Amino acid sequence: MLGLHSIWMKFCLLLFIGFTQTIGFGQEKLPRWFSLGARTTLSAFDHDGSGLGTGGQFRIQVNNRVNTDWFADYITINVNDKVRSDYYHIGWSVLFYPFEGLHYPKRFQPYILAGHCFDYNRKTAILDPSNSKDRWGSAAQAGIGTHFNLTERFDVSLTCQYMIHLTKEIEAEIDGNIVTISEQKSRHLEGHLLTTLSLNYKIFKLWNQKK
Amino acid sequence: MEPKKIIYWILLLVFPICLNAQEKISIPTGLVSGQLTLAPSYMFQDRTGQFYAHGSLEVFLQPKVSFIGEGFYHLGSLGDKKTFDVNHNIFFGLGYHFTKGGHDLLLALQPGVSFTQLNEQENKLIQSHFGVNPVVAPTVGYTFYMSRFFHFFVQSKLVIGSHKYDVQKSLTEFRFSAGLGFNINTLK
Repeated sequence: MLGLHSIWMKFCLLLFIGFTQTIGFGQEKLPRWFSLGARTTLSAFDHDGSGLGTGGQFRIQVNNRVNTDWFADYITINVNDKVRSDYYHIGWSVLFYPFEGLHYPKRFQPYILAGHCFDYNRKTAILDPSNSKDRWGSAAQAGIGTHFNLTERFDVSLTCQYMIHLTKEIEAEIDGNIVTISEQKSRHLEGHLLTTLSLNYKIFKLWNQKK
Repeated sequence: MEPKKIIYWILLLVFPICLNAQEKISIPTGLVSGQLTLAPSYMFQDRTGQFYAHGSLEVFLQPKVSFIGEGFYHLGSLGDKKTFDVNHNIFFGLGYHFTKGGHDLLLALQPGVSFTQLNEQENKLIQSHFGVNPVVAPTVGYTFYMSRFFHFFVQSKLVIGSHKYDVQKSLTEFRFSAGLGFNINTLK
């Protein structure tokens, strides 16, 4: 499984390097912005159920077609009113804009994204907090999204991505009022669909491209 | 007093302030706006009212865009039913403004966290635990900047989230704030 993780990281890096090296010739050079934002995330299709998260992010734009997203999220999921599943995500994604010239004043700027993150999961029996287990792991995510550019510097972004955990999951078995929390013996590809709504502001220009 | 008379007196009081505002007031980049007030709320699951001390600070990054940080300190419940002993909140986010002169309509989305603890007696618990829960709050507000230093505001907020400690409880509630705020232009 570590091999798969390593392959995914290499893929993301190659994607990043490839885009930064090959794309952008013959285009109007736009300034490279540093953005800061707040985000809320809906987690769905998790084996635990669905939940809500809160977090923040910053973006470093690389060129006209490539942006990078560095984020942190805290998501909690209620499992049948018996178990609380807390997720902490810290990671990064590469955003690629497939269509040229859709920056402000154009309103919609779609993108595809892929990335990697570290994740921490803790499951706790709601009625008995001493019954708890946690694990650290890593994950890979990919999806699509769009910026909605409200001003030159302010955008609202909607992203939908699937995150696959590359680790041994913590499992909660519920039998009436008896909750058993245990670590899976082997690794499985399990994940969740994350829909994120974020508000971002371009704070300063990192550098100006020579025309 | 008849409703028509009430409207007449409100217009009589507000109209001169509006006229004054239209002459001079605008909302520039760098405006810092602060508010401290009391906010009642309605919690949908338990059909209870809550009361908060509400403080907020807003910085205009552009004339139409602001960064907003808000805090709610739970003061207690209205009525006999007391589901939560603690339900404090912190929100942070960006807002988009529709402005004309001193009039400002705000639309914002604010992620945040809720610090909660259930009331043991009401929820029949031996011991309740302190919890931290993610929440999100779509917000609509109207502000009237009447001078370089003061403004009136009204704001409503739908807080969405759930408490997941000891017993699962919905934190979804409607909050309303209004009052006097202070503002200063930091870039002039």
